[in-house]
Amino acid sequence: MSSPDLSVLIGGVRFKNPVLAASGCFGYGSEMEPLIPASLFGGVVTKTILESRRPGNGAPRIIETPSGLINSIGLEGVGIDRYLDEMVPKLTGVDTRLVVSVGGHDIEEFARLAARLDRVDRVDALELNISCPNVDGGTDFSTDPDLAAATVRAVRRVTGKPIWAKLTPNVSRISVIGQACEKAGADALSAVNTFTGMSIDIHTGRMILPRGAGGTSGPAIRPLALAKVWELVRNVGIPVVGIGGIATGHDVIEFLITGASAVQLGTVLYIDPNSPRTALAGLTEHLASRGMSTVRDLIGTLKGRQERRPHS
Amino acid sequence: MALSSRAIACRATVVEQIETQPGFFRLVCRVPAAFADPLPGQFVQLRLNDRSDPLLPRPYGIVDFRRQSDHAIFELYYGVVGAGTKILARYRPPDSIACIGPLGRGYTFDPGREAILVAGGRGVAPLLMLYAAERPKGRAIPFVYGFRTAALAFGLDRIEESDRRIATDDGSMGVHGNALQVLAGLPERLLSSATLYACGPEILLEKTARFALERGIPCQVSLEAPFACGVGICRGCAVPAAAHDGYLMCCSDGPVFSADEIRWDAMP
Repeated sequence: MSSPDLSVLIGGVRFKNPVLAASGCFGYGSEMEPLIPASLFGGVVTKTILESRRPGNGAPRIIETPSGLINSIGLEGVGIDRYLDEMVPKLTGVDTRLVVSVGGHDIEEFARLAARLDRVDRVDALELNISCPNVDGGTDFSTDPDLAAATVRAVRRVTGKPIWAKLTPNVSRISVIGQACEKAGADALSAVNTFTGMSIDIHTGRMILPRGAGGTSGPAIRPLALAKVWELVRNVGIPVVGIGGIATGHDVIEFLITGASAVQLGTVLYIDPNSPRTALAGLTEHLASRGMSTVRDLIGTLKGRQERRPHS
Repeated sequence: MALSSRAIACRATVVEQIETQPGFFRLVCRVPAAFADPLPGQFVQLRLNDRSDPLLPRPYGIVDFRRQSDHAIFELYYGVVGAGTKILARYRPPDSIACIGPLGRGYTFDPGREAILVAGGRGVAPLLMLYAAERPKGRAIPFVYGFRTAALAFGLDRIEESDRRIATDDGSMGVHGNALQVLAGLPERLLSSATLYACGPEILLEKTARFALERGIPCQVSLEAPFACGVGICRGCAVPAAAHDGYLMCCSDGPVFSADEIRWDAMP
């Protein structure tokens, strides 16, 4: 049997496979060559781009926790001009979709950036980072359904490229935000950004990160993220891209069965450069062993818990 | 900063693991021939198990590197200080460990000036490699080495007796004091014509850097900062830059920095 078709369609754009690199974990797409070639992924999501260069937060910026990582990088980045001049050309001819993560201090900045990126052919989709926990006001855009919708609407007006809204999990009902984004014209939802987390130094009694709390990622959040994805897929009609501690073939399959149309690998890219290859191999093997000719046969096939049969 | 294209991901097979002093280990590993020649000051990232706790790989400075017929050998020196090193200490031949390297920017030896090495504690590791690379060329290289107590000396047999400038906290070997006091006591004529190469606790590095900056002599320090990836991608290991309001990345811009690249007043 020929190997299964791994391609998925999100917002009218075809991705050759459903495993993407998550924003903030793969730079601007080419820096990890040759350890992790961008062409392994169906797509790469860039570090969040803002209009200006940002130096980011002071040290320390990361703390390791059990099976997790708390970061407070603070949207360090080169700014849109240098991004377009230097980073985009490096992905010319590389066989992967380019999803640009767009940030903003206000709705107008999101829209101005989207308007510029709309004119760049290499850019396949925009992921709106309305949920960065490490800058003032960063998560506000995705904890308030009206503000989230207004951001998506403002970007929708200036671009024909697919819009993905990246949601924070730090809300009681993520589907309320997801529905607001869908109604405002989002083509897909990326779920989830990091969970607010904190760790302190008990010997000094001081907080470790300069801002106190940061964003938690890694295997520790995977079940939490999966539950958020499950809530979304039951309540919205647009594709959901699953993110949160996904590291292995098992994890990819878990999110796809639950209903995610694709997934993003994040923290694991810091740890295991082979993870994209092994995750894709695990997915391919799973499909083949079940006689599925396309990954689309797997997506959203979640079944309810089997009822125990009464003893006969 | 782009990843050094010389780094590879491979398995490092344990050849030898010896507890040189209580809690301190010398680890020798075999890696494929494709592993590039590391510069003194460069490091490897070791992933200590294939589970998720501890989650992150850990960086270890390379002490020695040799090529053999169809493979290469590197040597590390570490003390058991946390969860990662506790696991590392349990490895035995022929266990293998997921490894990425060589990584980072190492020392840049300046053959036009005298050299003085300044080591504190386990920081001696990369300087032993620098010493081994440069000392055979003939010129004396004063090796200032401060540590807690005589029983914790590591690698003294690799340093010419005439080059040793030892200090211990308890006075059990060499001068009773620290490496900085020994450095400051060197002849001014030597100091003014030398480049300092330092590695050790941050307080020693900062004081050595300020000592050099005040005298206007070149100084290279190997810094440590917590990071996840080791290749400049996670942006975790921010070190305040002197040249602008931003940061350098310890893992990829360093770990070896020129003292004048760092905004010491802004160090955490």
